[in-house]
Amino acid sequence: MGILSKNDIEYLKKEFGKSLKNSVEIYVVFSDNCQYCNESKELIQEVASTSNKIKYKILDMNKDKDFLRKIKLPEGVDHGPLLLFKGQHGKINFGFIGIPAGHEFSAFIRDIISVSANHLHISKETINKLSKIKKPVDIKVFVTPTCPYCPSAVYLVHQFAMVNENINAFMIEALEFPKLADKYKVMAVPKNVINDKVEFEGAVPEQYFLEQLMLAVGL
Amino acid sequence: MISVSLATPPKEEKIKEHYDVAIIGGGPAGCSAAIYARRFMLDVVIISKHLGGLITDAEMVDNYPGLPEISGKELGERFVNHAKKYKADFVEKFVTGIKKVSDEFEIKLEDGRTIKASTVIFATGETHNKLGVPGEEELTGKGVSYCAMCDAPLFKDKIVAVVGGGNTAFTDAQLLAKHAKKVYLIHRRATFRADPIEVERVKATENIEFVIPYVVKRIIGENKVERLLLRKTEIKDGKIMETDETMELEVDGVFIDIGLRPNSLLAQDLGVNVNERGYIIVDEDMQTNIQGVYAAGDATDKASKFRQVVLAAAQGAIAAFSAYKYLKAKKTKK
Repeated sequence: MGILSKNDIEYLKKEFGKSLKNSVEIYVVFSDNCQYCNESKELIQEVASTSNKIKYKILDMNKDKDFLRKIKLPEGVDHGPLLLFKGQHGKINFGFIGIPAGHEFSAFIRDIISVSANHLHISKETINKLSKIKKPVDIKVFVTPTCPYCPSAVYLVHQFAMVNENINAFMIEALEFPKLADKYKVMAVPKNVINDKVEFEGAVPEQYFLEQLMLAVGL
Repeated sequence: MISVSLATPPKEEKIKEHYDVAIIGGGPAGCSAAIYARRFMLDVVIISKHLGGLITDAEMVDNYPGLPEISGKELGERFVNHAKKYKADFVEKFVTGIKKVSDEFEIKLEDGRTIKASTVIFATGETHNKLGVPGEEELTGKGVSYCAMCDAPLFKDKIVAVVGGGNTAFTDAQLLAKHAKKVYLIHRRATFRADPIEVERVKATENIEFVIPYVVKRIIGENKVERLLLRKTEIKDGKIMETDETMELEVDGVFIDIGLRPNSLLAQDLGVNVNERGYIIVDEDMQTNIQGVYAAGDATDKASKFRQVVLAAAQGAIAAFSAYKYLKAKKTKK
């Protein structure tokens, strides 16, 4: 039995058939001591089966160290699964640390559509401001799979990362990465952390997040 | 167990310039209004940052007729998908302003876009109340939480308190009891508003302890919640009075479930009348004091006394029917 229901698969086939334009590349990273690697494998296989525009590559955290080093993953990510996206700019700079299950699955599907159709859901003003950032930005959004507000926070920062390759934005599933959740004292989700400097909870409006981001990078 | 949720329509937001009906809010009232309005062949947009609405925070809903023991998440998804089936447009943005321009309405979105509509249905629901005690604001997100569904798993093997005496407090306590080592249920009375069946369920849960009748006076902690200062109450002349007796309770987290307040500021900006508690005043047709403006669900004064999904859905249907009648009459006049 698969993770997606027959209805989900039918829905995705239809939706992807309409919305996907270019190929999307997803890098799925597995490791030892990985709670949901098998389920993530199943999930990506099932999702990819719904459209030939979705390409994925399976990597091993240990064997593919050199390749992974080029990606600015948050410090302390020591196991999988990771599902990482190559943005429209050609760089791998956003994705999911932990399985995008539960409510988070919708953010995963939206990312696929956004990258493939090269369509952003943020305002032109925001895109303008983000494009000008030259310094590296590191955004972490901690979530739980049962949080209905979290996907919109994750999708927002992934959009930011699609605009500018200097912005690295990752969802972190708090329950699969308790050490990271402890380090950042996650007691409510979504919890947003920018450059380890600015942090706040909640799925906030685009404008507010942008202001906090600018504050964190000192602009 | 792994499951996935496709509640949100992962579609490009292609919005039209003008709609017959703009529904603000995507919970049961908003989705129901959209379904009915589409059946009347009206152009409909739902503007909502939280599709499915607050009900998606409920672990289990067991009183929506015909759908026993459904999770709040799934019930919310079903409402959204039903509205999608009828091809209502969805826009997942915050609304930043609304104004009346001649006999139309202009709704401003957070991304700067504007949606025009002939009628508006406010299905904006409610937001969690705060306790309003020292420490609450500072420790929000650091142990003070308003969403047990989101944050309960983060308190595995910890000690938590739930404050409140309604159904939400009681179902949250049961959810938290699955993760936390110990759950205190604090309420200012010794009797509860919660349905008797929920009270029985909590009584039967081993790691939930009642702390009644007490009020929370202060939430204490450096950088995270450490303990609560409580004060015992008594009933005098039918009123709850605080006594001199205080106590402290060591907890890692506190979940606040002391009711909700209406999201009606946007409606008030437009000039919609609200009652003394901020609920939008509607007549039996869900009509507000402004022509072409309706309200449905928990944000209205009609639902505030008995907040139920089944009522919100019903009100959404009535609001859509009223908008339809209004638009039809307007067309005939022209």
